[in-house]
Amino acid sequence: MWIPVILLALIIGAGLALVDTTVSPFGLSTLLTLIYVALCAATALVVRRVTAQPGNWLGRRRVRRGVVLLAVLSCLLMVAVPAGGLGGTVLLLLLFLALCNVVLARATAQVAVSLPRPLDERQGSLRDHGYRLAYWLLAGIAGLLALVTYFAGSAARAWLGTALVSGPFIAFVVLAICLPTMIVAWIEPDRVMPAPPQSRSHVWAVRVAAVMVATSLLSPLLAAVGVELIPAQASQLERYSSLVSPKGSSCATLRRTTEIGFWFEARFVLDTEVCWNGHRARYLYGMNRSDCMASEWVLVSVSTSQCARRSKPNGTVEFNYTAWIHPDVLSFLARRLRVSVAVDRNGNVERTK
Amino acid sequence: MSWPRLLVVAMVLVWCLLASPVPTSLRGSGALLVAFLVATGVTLGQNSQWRVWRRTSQLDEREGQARDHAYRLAFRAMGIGIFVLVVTAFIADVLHGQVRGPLAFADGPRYLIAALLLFGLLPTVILTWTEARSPAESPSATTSNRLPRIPTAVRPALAGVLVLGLWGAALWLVPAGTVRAIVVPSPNLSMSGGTCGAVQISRQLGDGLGAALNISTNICWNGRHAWDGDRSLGPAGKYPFPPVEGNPPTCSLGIDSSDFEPISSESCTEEHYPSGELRIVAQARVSSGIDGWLSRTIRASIAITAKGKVLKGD
Repeated sequence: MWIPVILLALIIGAGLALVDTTVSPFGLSTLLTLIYVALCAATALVVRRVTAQPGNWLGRRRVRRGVVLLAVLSCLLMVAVPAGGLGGTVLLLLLFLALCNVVLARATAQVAVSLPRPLDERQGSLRDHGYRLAYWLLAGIAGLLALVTYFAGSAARAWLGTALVSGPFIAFVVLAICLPTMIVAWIEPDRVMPAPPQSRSHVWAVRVAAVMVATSLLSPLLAAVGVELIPAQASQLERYSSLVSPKGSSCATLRRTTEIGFWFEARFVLDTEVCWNGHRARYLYGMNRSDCMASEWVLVSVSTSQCARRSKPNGTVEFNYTAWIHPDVLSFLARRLRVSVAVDRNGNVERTK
Repeated sequence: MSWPRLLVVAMVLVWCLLASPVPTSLRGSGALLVAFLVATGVTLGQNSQWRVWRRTSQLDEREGQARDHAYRLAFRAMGIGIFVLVVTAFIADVLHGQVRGPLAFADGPRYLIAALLLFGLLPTVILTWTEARSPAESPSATTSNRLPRIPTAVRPALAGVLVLGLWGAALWLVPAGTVRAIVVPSPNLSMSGGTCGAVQISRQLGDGLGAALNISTNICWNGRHAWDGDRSLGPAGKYPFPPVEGNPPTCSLGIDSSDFEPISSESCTEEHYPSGELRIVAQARVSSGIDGWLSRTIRASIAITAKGKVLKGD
């Protein structure tokens, strides 16, 4: 059973589902997030029934140690991530760690976790040695960290307090799940025995499991890239004349929705009421600073770069809102979105974006 | 149930008490709990021939398998234990009426000690639970005595006494921390034409593992004198400066005991000076866990000038 993979997949799924609290209860993105969590669980169920041999390349100790070092490096980077909860960087590192662990689980033939098949004496001894080392390594790191931060002063304690809600704690949880596998991968010698022949059905099961694991790992990355690449979906400008208007003026409500991304998405709604009297146009609502925000965002962060309303000398009122949208995974990607509207003194909409 | 399993149950209960958010303060009994856990840990260690600490080559096949099984379970249990500690620290923080969030765990000596004991004792405890045999049934009971001069039955008690002794000695040797005093002016609180503020004084011994002298009171000042704002609200209802004849200038301040070392006697006095300065001197007697066998006095004093300025305390 690939228990570490299962748990990591579930952590990633739950993290993705919980990281953003602005999800509308019935939105498509919420549905996709739930489907993704279900996919992670299904992947976990499938892979636990499949055992795969490491193959020649992963059977080499040098390769395995390289993967372990990459995983350790990811944990260290996670510890170095500044406070701020489950940020995009942590999720990305978590995905990478999951990938490393899938590789290591295969490289060690999952001897570090309980298996449906009995282990031979060598494998059992290897697993037991791995667990003993893992216990004292993790207990030593955690104990030493607790002691040093406690006695190093209030600043160090404050760091530990912050660490419990950010990357370092997640790194600890990951190690608490994966460390035995990592240690077994580190200490196991080169495999010289060829892998036993596999039945056709088993080969297919391994392929299905591999596809599901790849889908679980890659779909968040693709969704994050989609924020950058998928064209923005903007609705037509809707215009409704207001039944009640100030004396001598006419008013209309303008509405337009713009969506960025698929699954990892942000939705912006321009919803404003503008009145005009032939001399100048003015807004009633919908052009304030508080309107410079996304109406919904799922697994992305939105930062405002411009929020301005201007009344021109010719009587035109215009509103400009520019924001950067960063996916929570691969957060170095960014998409710029501009929402803009200008209404002249006769009620004509000069420009919308 | 065999006696090793009973001991395990007792250890789990005591550890839960140590890590529990209730009671919010152990009132100095924490060191005794730690001594009990160490003593029972030594007992179980002896009973298991210290197998969790021994090399594989020193164990036979069955013993090695049992030990390795214990380590596998301990690895999983350790994660659960840490999670429990973090959650209880949060709950304890809420019960204290504070919202420090995760700092509650990082700042609590109780959780530090509980975590260290968890790491050190867990494999032995799990091995004992899974095997639960008495020393008489052990096949190699006589081969693992590394301290033959000390009777086996005495070692757990010695370990407990050693813990208390070291704790008490540390209490003696560790210098007390510096006095920290904070005065927060209260603009809405004034008295007899003076300005008042909340004063918090604290001095720690052993960084929270010893004892803490925490005092909070209200002080007022009017440019000519400083006085204890709490005391002036007392039954006398009179401006208490200069001190009333026959009424000793003893301020009624709260002193908190720590989790691990009890504070036996406490006193707090006010000293008024002709310059209008008020000096608060608080002191407490901190005892070790062995019935006051090792004890020490910690003292904290600060002075507030007639203009509300806090002079350096000692």
